[in-house]
Amino acid sequence: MDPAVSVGKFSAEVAQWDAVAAEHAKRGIFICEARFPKIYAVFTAPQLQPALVLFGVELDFTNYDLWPPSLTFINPFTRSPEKPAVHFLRPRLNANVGENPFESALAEHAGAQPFLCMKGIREYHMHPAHTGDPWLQYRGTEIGTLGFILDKVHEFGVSRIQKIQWTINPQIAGVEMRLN
Amino acid sequence: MTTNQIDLNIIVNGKPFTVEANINEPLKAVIPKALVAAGQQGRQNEDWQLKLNGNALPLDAKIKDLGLTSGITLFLTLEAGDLG
Repeated sequence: MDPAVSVGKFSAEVAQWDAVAAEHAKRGIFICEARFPKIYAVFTAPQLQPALVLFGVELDFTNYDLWPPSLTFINPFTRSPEKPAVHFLRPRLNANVGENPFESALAEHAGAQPFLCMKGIREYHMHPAHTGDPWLQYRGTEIGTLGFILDKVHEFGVSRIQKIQWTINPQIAGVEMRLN
Repeated sequence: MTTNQIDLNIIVNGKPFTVEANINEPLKAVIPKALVAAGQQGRQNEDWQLKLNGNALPLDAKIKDLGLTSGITLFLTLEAGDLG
């Protein structure tokens, strides 16, 4: 795909996001850097007191939108790949009474970074389990756009967090005795 | 505009649209208006949800009962049920 086309689509989506960035900030979503083909976004939890920085994501729009964006969870400070320390939950389809109505939206395989198992994410469509659900049938729809992806990351990973529990284990490292 | 009419800012796919709504209508009545404005008519209205500050709102509730006032911003997004 002509990179100029990808750059144009990338820039248009970033501009759409920026136009309502203040509304996204109220939900705790901040795009820290958007320079083709990468976008770095940080997710926070403003509903908590004190508000917390939860995790970051790196989106790669290379060859967009012939390819869907790639999503990698990162440490929001160092930008190194990192498994997020929160649960990503989405409604379970056709859940029976008594069953957990939610399921994890993260796919985890030994030795590999977890990825968001969702339509519109490159890692989902490239996974052998989803060869029957090709990206091109969603290309040009809302699925896979910047706004869609960041909204779903927020919905699955942030919106259901209501409180944080702290566990403190005090330990005595030693006792100093003074003999007079 | 009558006193029952308010303007809602609805963000669809990252773009903001202003939709006129009657406060006595259920919230779901604004979905087709927003989708027409956004040119997103490929899916059923039932596939969408409206969120305020990240929380999904009950679509069958009347707008006035939800306390929504003119100028408030809502996010219209696809339901997550069939996304993976």
